[in-house]
Amino acid sequence: MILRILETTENGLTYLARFLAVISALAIGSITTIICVSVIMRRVANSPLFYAEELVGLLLAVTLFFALPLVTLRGDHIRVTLLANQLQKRGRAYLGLVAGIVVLAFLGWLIFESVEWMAFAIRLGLKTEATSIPLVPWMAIVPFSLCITTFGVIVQLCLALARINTGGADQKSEVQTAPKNLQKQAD
Amino acid sequence: MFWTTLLSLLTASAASGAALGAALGLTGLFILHFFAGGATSLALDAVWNTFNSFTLSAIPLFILLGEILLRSGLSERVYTAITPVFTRVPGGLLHTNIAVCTIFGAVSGSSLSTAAAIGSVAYPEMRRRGYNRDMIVGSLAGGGTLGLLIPPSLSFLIFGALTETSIGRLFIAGIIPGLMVALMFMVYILICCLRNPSLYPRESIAISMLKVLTNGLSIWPILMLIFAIMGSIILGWATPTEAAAVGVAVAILIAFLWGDFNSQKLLESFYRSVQLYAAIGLVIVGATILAQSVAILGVPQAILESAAASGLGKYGVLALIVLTYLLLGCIFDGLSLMIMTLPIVFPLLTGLGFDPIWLGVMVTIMIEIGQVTPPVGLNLSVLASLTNNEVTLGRAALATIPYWLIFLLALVILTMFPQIALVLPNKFF
Repeated sequence: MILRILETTENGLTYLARFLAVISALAIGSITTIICVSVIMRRVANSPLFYAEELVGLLLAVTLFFALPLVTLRGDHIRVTLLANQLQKRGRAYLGLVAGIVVLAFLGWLIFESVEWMAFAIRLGLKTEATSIPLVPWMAIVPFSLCITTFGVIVQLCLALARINTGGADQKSEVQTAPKNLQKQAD
Repeated sequence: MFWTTLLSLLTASAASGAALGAALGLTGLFILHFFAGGATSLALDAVWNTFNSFTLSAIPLFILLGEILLRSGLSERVYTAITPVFTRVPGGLLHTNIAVCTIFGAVSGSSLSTAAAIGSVAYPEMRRRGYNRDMIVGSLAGGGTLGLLIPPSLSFLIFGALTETSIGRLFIAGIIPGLMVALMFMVYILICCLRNPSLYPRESIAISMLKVLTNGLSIWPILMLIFAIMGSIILGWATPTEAAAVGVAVAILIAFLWGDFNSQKLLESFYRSVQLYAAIGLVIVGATILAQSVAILGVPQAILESAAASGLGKYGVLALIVLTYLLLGCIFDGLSLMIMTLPIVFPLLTGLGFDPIWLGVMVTIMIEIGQVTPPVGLNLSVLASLTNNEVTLGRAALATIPYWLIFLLALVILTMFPQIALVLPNKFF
């Protein structure tokens, strides 16, 4: 029962992560368009888009942080697999738990820091220097993405633990935060 | 105490197989908390300032460019066009591999994209013609790494963004060393094939010089793309970031008109590129936090003072760093290795009097070596999987050793004659 709930939650999170990755792809498309238009405007009309640099910078943050949950859930991050490759499947599953805890500790710590960071930004009503774009909504992407990613890692860790406990370690108990062949990146 | 904590925490967390960025970042946060008076609030500021950056947006753009080229079918066209050029040279298509990787490297910023794009076209064709399989994979693995050295290059971009060095100068500095290494690869292939003619089949078809020339000219769209990216930087029409965006737009246009691209592949390219970017991005996030922590404690300055007092001399320190990169290249992926070591290596070597632009080229060659060093050599993994493990990872690694040694030779040559890297940037900027 718990296993089914966890699997359903993981599926739901994967759909959400995919949706965010689509937004991330749109952001990189927007970056391309804005820069190209700005270059053309500068060369042809001698009038570059004055907001291009700041907007592109903000969209870059969107690109990274909205793609982060999917990459984490799919275990596509760059990692050192030297030790994991030497272990049997069960050993890899346990090592995967340790890896998950490392990722959780990092993300959790950043989320904790982001509370004060966001509070500071809201208090001062931070805006970009040249074009006065309000920064708070853009900055909020960071804790939002970190929370989704952390939730995904927690669900995967629980799933891995549940599978180890039910003796299914040999099949599916490796959390996606565990080592995975980097060849996948080149597919 | 500081070093023990840094090394043990980093080793333990990274060895667990956790995302490398998380391991680096956690170590950085730990150091900020326990050694820098609880200054962990600096971490998010540093991350935000790094990623809210116009310059750094060139990284996903060049990844996107590589993904578009990978799916465009252009590699096949370029390969077919260049094939007749080397039919009369001992080694034939092995030289074509290097030449096409060089050309592809001039439009793609990634060695992985280059190796995958050319490898998927070259391996089946060369295998069918009876080339030695290990030799094919060796040439593709070595040639693929040129994607990082020949501009535009992700390595130069990240190096420039993290060290505040001119990315335009770095790009131009990579041209001559890149061509030099490509030439050295070709000379090696020539010598091998002259000594052992069984490595390649004799091509019986004689092709006229006119045909070679017309074939060469038929790759004009790729030449146009090279001009759109590198020409615009050299002529001062665009910054590297702008050139990356224009390059993406031109690549999409060329891929639709000249290759076998479609809207489905375009969407795939966008979707895949942001995921690759996020994978690299998390390493940058972690390294940024770690860099912040070591910088705040004055670690690079302390290392510099120790190095100066050690009596090793600047070349002794350089040799030690090269050795460290070679060893770490066995464990870490090239770009990650660069990102995590730069906060210490850059101030150390520039402090000893090495030119930052020259250093960018040297570091890029060092991480290229890591791309073909097992067990983490990504180019080797990609090529082994492209051959469906007909050439195993181990065999691919052995076949790549000569290219590995050529890179080391290139490091020696560049150390003896730094002007090879510096002459063009000094001329154009």
